[in-house]
Amino acid sequence: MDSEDRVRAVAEMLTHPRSASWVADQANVNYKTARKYLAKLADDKRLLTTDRGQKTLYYPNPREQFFGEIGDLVDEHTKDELTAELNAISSRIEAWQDEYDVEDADELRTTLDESLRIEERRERERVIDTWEYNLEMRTLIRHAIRLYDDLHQFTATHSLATSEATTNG
Amino acid sequence: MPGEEPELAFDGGSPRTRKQILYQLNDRLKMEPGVVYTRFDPSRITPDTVIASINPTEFVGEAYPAPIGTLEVWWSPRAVGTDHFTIQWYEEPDSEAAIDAADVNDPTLPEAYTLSCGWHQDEHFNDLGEAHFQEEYPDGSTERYGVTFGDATPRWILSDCLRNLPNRLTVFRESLDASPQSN
Repeated sequence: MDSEDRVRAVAEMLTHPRSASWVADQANVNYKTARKYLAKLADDKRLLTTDRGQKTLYYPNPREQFFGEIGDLVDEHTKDELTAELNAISSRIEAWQDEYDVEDADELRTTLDESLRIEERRERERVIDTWEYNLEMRTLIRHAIRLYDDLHQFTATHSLATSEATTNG
Repeated sequence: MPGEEPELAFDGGSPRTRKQILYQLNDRLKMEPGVVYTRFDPSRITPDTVIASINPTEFVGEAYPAPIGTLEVWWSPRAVGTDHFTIQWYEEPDSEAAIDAADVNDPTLPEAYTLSCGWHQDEHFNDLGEAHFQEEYPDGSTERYGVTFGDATPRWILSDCLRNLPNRLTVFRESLDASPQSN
């Protein structure tokens, strides 16, 4: 990966607001290079910035993440695959509801107490975390499915090949 | 520093970040000698784990008694504090692999025991360190060793673990050989 790719790769994994010097270190590039590519990502609205004292910190733009994920879901998967995944998510949730005899992740959270062995606690914490993640993905997948046909129609109508074909008869 | 962050409307644990991390960890695993294949679990659309099927001799770089290994990497990014993750090695085939059970038995280990060990970073055993390496013994006991990865990206952390795993496996097997349960 070249320098820009490495900076972008680190930027994509950000979970905390980070300075250019931290990113430079993680991406194994010099500070100026990191700053240049981070500024470009901020210009493109992929990253937002906040100032902490003298430093500028960079973090992912949640709006861009939301729309970016929906766009990628549509680009990378067929509508059938997305629908199948929605069904798979429902099955996972039902399995957790049955296994733990709870309605939702919050209820499972209330069962985390000192009486559980560590490994059992760990497993439930993981299920809670995965459950909430599946719920968020379900929302994004539903949006992707709703947009699917409209987006394909729009891009088909307005693509370059279509207008050239019309011009060239 | 985590205490200063709440004023931002920033969710470090976003599903997109989790997927990006897992895709990059998958890329890193595919570069590793000895990795036969990788896959996402439970699906590519909503992955929470990357699983790699490994040829241990090729991975460790010298003759290794077990015919197969599986590495499971589970990653849960957190907006506050450190990410939670598990990088778990076990010597049983990945469930997706079509391998005859007879091919897999490791003659150096006690019957019905699968060598299992790995790194855990979460809210448990933090008296040992931010993370720990855990060895699981045939009698059901576990040994845990404190580990600190410092403030690094997931890809760096995985690389560090892959570098250290051959040595960790050698040390673990030596203590298994020394213990009365092994046969």
